[in-house]
Amino acid sequence: MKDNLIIGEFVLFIFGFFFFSIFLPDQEISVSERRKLANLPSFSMSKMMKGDYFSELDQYFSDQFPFRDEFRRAKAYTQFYLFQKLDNEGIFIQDDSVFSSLSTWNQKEIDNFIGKLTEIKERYLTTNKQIYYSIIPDKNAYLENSLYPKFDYSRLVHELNSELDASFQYIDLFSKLSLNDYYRTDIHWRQEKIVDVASYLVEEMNHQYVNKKKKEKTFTPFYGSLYGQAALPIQPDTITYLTNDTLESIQVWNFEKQKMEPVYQPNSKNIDSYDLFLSGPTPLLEIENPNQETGELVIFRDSFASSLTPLIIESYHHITLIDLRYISTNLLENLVDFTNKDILFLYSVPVINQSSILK
Amino acid sequence: MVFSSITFLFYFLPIVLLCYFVLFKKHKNTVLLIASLFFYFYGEPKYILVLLFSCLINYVSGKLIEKMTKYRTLILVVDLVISFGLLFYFKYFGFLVANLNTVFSLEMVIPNIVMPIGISFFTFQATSYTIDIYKGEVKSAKNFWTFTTYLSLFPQLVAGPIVRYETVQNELKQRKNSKETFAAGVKRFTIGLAKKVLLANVLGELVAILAEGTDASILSYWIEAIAITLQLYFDFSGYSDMAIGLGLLFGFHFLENFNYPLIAKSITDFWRRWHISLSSWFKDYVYIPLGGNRKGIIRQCINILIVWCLTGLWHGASWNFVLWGLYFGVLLIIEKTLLKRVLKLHPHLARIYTFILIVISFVIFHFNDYHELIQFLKGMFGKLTIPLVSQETIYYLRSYGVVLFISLFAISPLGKQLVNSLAQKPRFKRIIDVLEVGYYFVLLFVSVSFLVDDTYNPFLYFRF
Repeated sequence: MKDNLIIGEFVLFIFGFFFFSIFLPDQEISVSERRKLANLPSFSMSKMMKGDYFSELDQYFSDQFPFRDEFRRAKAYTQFYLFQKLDNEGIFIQDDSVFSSLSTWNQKEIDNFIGKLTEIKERYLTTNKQIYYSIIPDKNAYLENSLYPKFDYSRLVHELNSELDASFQYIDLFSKLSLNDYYRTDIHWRQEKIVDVASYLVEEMNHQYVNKKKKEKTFTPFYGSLYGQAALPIQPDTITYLTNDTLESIQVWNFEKQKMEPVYQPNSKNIDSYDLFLSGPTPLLEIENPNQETGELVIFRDSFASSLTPLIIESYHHITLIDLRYISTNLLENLVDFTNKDILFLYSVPVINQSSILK
Repeated sequence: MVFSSITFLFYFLPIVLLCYFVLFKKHKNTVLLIASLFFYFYGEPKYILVLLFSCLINYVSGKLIEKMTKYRTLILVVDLVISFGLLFYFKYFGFLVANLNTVFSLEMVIPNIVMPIGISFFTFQATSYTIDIYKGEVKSAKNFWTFTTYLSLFPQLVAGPIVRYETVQNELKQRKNSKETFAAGVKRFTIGLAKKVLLANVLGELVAILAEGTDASILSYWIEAIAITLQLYFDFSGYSDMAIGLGLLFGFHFLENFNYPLIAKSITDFWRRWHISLSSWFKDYVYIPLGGNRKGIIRQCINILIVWCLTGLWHGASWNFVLWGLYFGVLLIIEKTLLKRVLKLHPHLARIYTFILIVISFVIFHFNDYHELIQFLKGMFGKLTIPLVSQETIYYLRSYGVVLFISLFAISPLGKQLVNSLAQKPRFKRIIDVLEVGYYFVLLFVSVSFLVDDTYNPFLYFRF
């Protein structure tokens, strides 16, 4: 009897999922993992003899496995509740918020970041009087009573302050933020919570902050980048974005797409809903505000600036956003005029600690 | 294709079982042969020819040794030269060229030769076949396809155990597929899968994390060393369990390859329990022909060093494997000449002594780079300026504590003994039977959940 049951459950399990795999339709994307899933690979003899076909087939079988999300959830439960692990693949939940992997100090990458800023200054910013830089803390910086090893944020600030020359002026944001200013399921900050950060940044750059009345609009549900990685049942976030007639009238020049786009694109079909802010990841954006006659700012930035920049558009006549993750420093020579503009380097800790992604 | 993959578990295995037990049940060996060749082809499309060539050479040699008795020694020598020549070319030629360049300051181009998966295993299996025919211990296979089925049998093809022809020759002709053996196969396969996916892979993550850590401590070095040891054990013994389990599904009874080696009472005892099919191969085909212990203690020590140098080299074309082998050779000599009695008198201390030496051995095994190895050993023994414990160490000890505890428990037969003793009592038997059915299902389900979300799943012994 026992043998029958053991055989029965095994056979049912492997044959059940074998038939499920064959008969269930393939999925295009995984919403929770925010990525495209592999499709059945095309066959060619040369691909097969190289072994590539079978590798692609493995990926396809794995991606299209029935009830993938449920199995991932079972794994997360096992890791947290049976194995009592403090994180699952570097993801953990505390105070109802999902946190990404533990940041370990990476001296080589931090040196590289300092070198990159210095290189840009020496190549393009020799006549600019004001160069500002600011560090955006990741939300782990605001974890309290936690066993999780913390990144040494004060050491990072100290290192940048001491290694960058005096023309770089530091603007501290650490004291301006709290855990509540970040999405629960994503690494980014929430736009509606960082108006004070925006005004502080602008004023620290000796510019007048203009803040006309804005209304809140929402986008829901927002499955942040950490949502899928956590693989646990968590409530998704809601993106709240601040807008008014001025912001809705402004068009943004997207260098990559070679066309004008609105500041917010809530109907974007991108997998990452955070991309509603300023077209998502893109190398170069130019924003012109005809309602403001003065102020020109160039921001070297990562994705955090996408949600922050709309809050400061009204304060400037012209803003240029450069994301060096997607464009080489060498190309800027012919694309951006830095003359007499304020310069802000605005990078989050994870990017600084992994700065080799900056080209 | 690896056993612990979605492709194997939910496509390959069901199709093979369906063909074997339902569609073509009168042609079971043919099903196994085609399945095995496809299994190898899936992982190494081009090198299927190497496998088939090895099958052909050894099959023909076996027949010739039997029929041309006058030239049987010559035929065996030619067979061994070709078989080991292939192994040498694919596995050691690049290593030889690199070392010749170093020693003689040459600038020969180091050939970039990709090693066929499992070549060390099927070469040793094939040569044991011809040597056993030469020694008159087995008769040659009935035909080429029977021999190819034996050599390429997918459960043990790419990572062992090294199954000798004598073990399965009768079952290749006729075997009984009973409910009991099938159930035993399911249980054994599931245990192996869980060892690999739930323990070895998770320990592998810990090893990788600690290796990249920036807040090392003496304790973190020791945790990493123990995790390396446990990972290797669960990885390889898990694979052997799956191989033995799959063999049982198809009616084959392979010999055991591991017998709780990490609780051995001496290094000698350890090698009776670890990778038994390899150590017995070296014992029967190298150590004893060299004279074993029959020609005096000095000759025995030399024989031991030769065997362990070769055992090390078998694991890879790198000096750390040679060092690893010689390390065991020296320890075995010390035990035979000095420590034998002491270890018997203090069995608990002997276990601790053995475990520590095994952990150090697998550190040697783990690092191909000499400088990294020295740095790691210095870290373990407090020769670096690092603290005893760090915040990072505490975090990972806390995070992986349960997995480490389960792993350390699972290296001993305590759990199995406890369940068996309870099952002897009538009042517990029924409960244990019910729990056992659930236990295997849960293990299978959880293992699959880890596979679906896998980021770390290499088989360490595939490189051999």
